[in-house]
Amino acid sequence: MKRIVTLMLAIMMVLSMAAFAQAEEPIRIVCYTDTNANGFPADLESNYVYQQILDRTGVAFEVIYLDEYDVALNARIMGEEEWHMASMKSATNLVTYASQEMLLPLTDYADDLKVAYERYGYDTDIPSLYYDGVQYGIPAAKAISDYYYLILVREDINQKYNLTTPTTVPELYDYCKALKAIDVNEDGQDNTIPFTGWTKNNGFTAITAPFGVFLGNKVILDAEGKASNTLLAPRMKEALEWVRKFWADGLVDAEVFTGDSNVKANVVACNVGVAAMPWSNILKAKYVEQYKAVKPDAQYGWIGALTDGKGGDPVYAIAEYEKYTGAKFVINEACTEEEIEAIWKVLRYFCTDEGMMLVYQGQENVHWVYDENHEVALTSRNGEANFVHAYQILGRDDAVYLKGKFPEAKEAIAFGLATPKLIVYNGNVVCPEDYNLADLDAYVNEEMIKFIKGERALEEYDAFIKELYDAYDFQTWLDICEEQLQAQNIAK
Amino acid sequence: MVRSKNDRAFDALVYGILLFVLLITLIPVMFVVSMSFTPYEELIKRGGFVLIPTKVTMTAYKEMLSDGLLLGGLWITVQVTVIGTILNLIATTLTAYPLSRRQMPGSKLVTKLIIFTMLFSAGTIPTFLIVKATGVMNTIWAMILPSLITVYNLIVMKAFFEGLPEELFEAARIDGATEFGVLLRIVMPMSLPIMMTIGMYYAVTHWNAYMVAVLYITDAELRPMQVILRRMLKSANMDYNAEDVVPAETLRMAAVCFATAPIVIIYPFIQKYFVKGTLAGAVKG
Repeated sequence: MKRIVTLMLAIMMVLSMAAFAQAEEPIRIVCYTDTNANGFPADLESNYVYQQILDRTGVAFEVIYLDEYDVALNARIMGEEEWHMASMKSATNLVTYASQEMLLPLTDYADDLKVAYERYGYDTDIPSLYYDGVQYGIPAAKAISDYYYLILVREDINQKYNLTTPTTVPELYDYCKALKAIDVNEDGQDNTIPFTGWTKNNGFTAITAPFGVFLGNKVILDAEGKASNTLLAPRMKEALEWVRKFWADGLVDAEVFTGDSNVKANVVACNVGVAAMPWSNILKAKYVEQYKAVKPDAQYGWIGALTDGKGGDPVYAIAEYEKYTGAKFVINEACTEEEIEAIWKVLRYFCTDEGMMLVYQGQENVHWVYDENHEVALTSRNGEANFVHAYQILGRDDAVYLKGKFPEAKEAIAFGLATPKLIVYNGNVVCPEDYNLADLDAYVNEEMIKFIKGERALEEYDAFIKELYDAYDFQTWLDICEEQLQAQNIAK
Repeated sequence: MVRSKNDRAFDALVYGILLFVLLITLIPVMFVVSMSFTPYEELIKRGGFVLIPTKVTMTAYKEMLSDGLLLGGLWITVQVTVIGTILNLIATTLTAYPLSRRQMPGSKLVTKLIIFTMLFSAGTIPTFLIVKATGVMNTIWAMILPSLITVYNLIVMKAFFEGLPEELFEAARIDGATEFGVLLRIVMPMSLPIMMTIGMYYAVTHWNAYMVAVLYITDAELRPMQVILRRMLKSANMDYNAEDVVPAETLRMAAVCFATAPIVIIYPFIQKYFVKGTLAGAVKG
């Protein structure tokens, strides 16, 4: 009997050793991203997202953020460092690497992509994912942040002084004039800023968008559906005239031209009457706490997009065309079959309910729970999930994601998403290397500031456009846009 | 001595100018330090400019140090700075000394070849390939070895050695000293100012190391302080970063204080050497 037991034990030992020997190391996938996430765990052991992906898929999926992304990524790719996936910040990056045959064509993975598209709500034919008719990019982020912009007003001031909120640009002008005479932060000083905005371009768009105008070089479609440019918008002078009027009458924050945190500082200081800025810069609980500490009865709310006052539609801010994605991920052409399968395994996991919520809010019952209405409710440990958005390789549906992440701003988020925008198509145009778009943009920006501030007469606007044609080869840029948008069946 | 009216007026003018220089130097420093300790709401209430805080908060510092990453980064930076600076000084001295000796054959040619690398560097990707080939990627050596000798510092040190009296070397040799003995017993003790100055240059470069870490380090545990600070600030600065909840302004100022404090503290103690060292090789004859 003893011999039999000994023999059985020996067999079991040999079998267990064989099983141990067969246990494979998980396949390691290195994915470079340009998403900077605070609180990213320093080691993989304490990274619960990494651990959960490993547990569910058997893939060691390492997401690595690179500072100075373009330079660092290029050094790694050209330096033949190990990489499997990488984020492409622009269409130009994708073209650069795809044209050198360094990226994996996704033609054979249509079924997997379809699952991802359905889960994350993308169109299936986003042109910026393609090079030479072949898809290389997996969409990673919708141009959703365009929809963060809102026109914020001081509800406490409206109530106190019985002000009617504006619905048209002329009404906004009158409203700002009325605010100018009010000490909105009640500090006894003449420091009221009737109107401010987050950067010149986005701030003033609250005034110019109802005229179909953006004060910069943006690609649009004209009334006939042909490719055009905001600089050639028929009502540009009318819109500029309004902006000049706001500026000339001292209604605009001078910081609007700097676009830095001073704009937000003014909003938090409650000096401001109207602020055209993203909700995320003022309506998060943290910022509400800040401005309430300065003026406890202050209350920022939002109004709808304005109209031109002549029967036009309400429009506010610009937004990239829906068939565009700012970021996209690509797969290294040199990946082995095993590695490619491992990548899709992880991406398929992100398409499950559990995988999606993991990269949205962290782990269920740890960082979030479903409340009685089956809505996502954050737990006290949600701060530990601040980094998980770095894993949103397939992007996110902001309408769902932000509502759960920032419940205090969910109405503002929904309102921003529903606000009509002036649609632009720059994201769908890849500028060739031999055209100097940066010079054109810089000159346009300089001259626009002069037009706004009255340093250049509005009568010179046509001469300014001629300068663009003569000195900056503007026609070539228009032709590039037309050709590419036509090729994508966007423009006629 | 009776001072004339003109003398007093001149003194007043000099003191006035010095006071002005002092203020324009001191006020930004005070502003940065005060802002890092001032609650954001208080800062806003006071129009964004605080020189002497009435309310003090450590929120920004707590936020910076909350996840322990910054302290880890600080430790890496200290290691790189200390080890790097020592190795830099050894390598620079051992290269500069022979090149400064006239009797060394080919020293002029070697010096020219070294200067050539200052004017025409290899570029990012070739340097990356070399670092990778040496097997030091993702180690602190990747932040030390590629810039072991800075050509500018080498030239300054070489000029200093050339300025030492030749008679000293001859006397040492007559007494039986080897070349290494001359360097160790005669040259080094006389080179304290240049060592401190060049050491400070190297130390500050290591302390501020950013791009080398960006290129050669992906291991989160090996990231130096500057990379971590940059990430924090970048994240807080993003205009519509939905995840950001840290006020960027106070955090930015706290980061500036945190990053510069050690250098600012060390500097006064080596200032006397620094003045001598920066003049090294400036006057000949």
